[in-house]
Amino acid sequence: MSAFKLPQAPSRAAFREFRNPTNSPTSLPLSTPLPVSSPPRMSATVSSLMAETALQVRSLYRSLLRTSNQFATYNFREYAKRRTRDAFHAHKGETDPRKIQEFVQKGLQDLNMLKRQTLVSSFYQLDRLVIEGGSEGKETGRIAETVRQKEIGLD
Amino acid sequence: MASLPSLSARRLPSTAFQRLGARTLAPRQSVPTTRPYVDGYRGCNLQQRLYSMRSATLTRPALTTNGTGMVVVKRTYVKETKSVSAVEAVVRLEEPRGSVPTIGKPPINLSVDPAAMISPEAGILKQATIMDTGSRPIYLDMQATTPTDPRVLDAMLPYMTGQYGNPHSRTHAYGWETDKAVEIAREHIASLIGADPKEIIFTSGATESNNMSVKGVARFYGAKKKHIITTQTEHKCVLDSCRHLQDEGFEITYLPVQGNGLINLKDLESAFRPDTALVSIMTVNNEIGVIQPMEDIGQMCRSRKVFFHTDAAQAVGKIPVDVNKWNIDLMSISGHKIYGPKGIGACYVRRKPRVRIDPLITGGGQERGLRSGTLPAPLVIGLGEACKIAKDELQYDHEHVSRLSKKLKDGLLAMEHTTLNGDPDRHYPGCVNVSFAYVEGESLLMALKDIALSSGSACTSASLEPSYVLRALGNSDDSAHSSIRFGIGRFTTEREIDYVLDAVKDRVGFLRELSPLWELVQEGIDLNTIEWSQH
Repeated sequence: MSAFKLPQAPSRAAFREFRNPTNSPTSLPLSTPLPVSSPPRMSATVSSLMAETALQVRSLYRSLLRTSNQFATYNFREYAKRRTRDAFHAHKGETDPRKIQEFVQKGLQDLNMLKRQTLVSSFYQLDRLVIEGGSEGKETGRIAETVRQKEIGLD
Repeated sequence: MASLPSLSARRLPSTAFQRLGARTLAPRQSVPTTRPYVDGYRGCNLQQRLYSMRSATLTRPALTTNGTGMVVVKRTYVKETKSVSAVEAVVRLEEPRGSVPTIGKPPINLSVDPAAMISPEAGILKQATIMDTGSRPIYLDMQATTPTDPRVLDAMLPYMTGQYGNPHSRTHAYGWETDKAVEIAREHIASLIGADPKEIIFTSGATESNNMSVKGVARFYGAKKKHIITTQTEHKCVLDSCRHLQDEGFEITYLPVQGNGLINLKDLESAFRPDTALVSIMTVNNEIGVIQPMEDIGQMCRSRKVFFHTDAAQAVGKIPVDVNKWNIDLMSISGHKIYGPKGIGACYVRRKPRVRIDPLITGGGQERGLRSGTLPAPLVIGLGEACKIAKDELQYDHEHVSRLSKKLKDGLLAMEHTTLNGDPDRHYPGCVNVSFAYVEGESLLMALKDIALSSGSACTSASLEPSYVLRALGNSDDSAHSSIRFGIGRFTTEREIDYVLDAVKDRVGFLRELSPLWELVQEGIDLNTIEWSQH
């Protein structure tokens, strides 16, 4: 019978649980206003929340760098990596949870953008730049044997 | 049944037909507004049109029943006010039998063919099976154009694929959504230069903006004011507009510049006349990168009630620009110089005090009638996004560019007989123009095939004449011929600068070894003392 109950407004506790999850490490709402109703538990909640946020931020950082590395164009690839690194380093001392949440949201948006644009860039690839290292020449059939034709960039 | 629209009556299946027939007699009967997904409906190949009929429209003779059961014909000419949902007709087309809905399904395999990954050139040069190393030159000509930022492309793509509405269409949602995005783009541009969104006019680029500003102001106020002031180092499009106006009877003063590329404010002050209509001076020079004293010029113009136009294509998004602080009346902005798309630009036209211009392009009256023609919505949105990014990243980019520029400048000037053109302090760091004495600039460019460089502006790069900007600085022909411009931007890396420094040092040394002049210089002979024999 309980499965067919009429939908009710969620209880206050359920709502708080939704906004401030304590048992689901992958959920995204990060630094919503902390519950003030239970002062004795507050410090524990704060520390667990901070730890969770730090974990998410690190994961976001890693996936941003990983996705940046997929740009086929050298300049965009290097810029994306540098921008990601510098942005995270510039705000590493941030303690305001609201601001952290803003940055994380922006990071997630950028990650989606990067996923789309790295794909686009992979479809329209050009030759590599002269400074991008690598080998060139004829393959003779034997493994790992390449006849060098010229020094890179100097001709 | 004569009151029914015959077209829809013919199309309706029998069940719906009966329902619609009942409509005229009993308007209150409730009919589901959306068709439920029942298999019985899907089998029917007819187009189904179901009206939501909460209330009847009484524009034609309608049959109503009164309390006694008699049918009374009532004719009214006033439409009853209805809620919006009541008007909407729900049209559903029957899907072809056996079709599978495919919308929103991602492509199955997005991986790229590895043959296309390595090198497109490999396919042309048949024998080269491995071409992992690069052959594409480093791009170091950011004054000519800049690569489109992936973020800009990401903002543009939806408007190039699905949201293709005309932003001037006011009758449907396609137009509204594009119009909204265009207005947001306009706000981004305005906030970058400290203006009001209403003061931004979209054009095809900085050349059109310059033409529009110079010719527009001159022609509008031409009856009373016949004098225009500009400088010798302006971009060709301003100089050419002025030449055209000269043919129309205007008088132009071309201000000279000092050896460092800056104008002398006293020269400008003495050039003002009572009939001066416009002063046009560029903010950042495209060839040597000097920043003119905009604030002083702006004050001078405002106090004399002369309009002040500036070509800020190389300045916007790279140095802080504020039209109110600088008292600018008209300003040209280009999209492709700030990592935006090509083919779009903007013109700032001040509203208070109002600047009136004679439009170059007339027609549909878009953009306050100053530049008619349908807006290229994807490009406009790209420009807006580029401006938004430029505003957010101004400080960060400037630091990066300054750091690389310092490295490049120090490295190049450490070589003997090299000079920096333009003022070293009032200078945008992303533009480094260096003269290499005893080396022909064009031959150096040929030798530096692995670096994309230019000896001057892209517009004049086809001719072999020395740059008129460098000549205006007082440089000799030789020095102007041997100058090369290095443009550094957001996407330039430190490794590229290292490569460029090595390559330039190597090639310049090589070319000088070939030169007999260099031999004479090494021997300590002053070249000016030599009397060349005439042949």
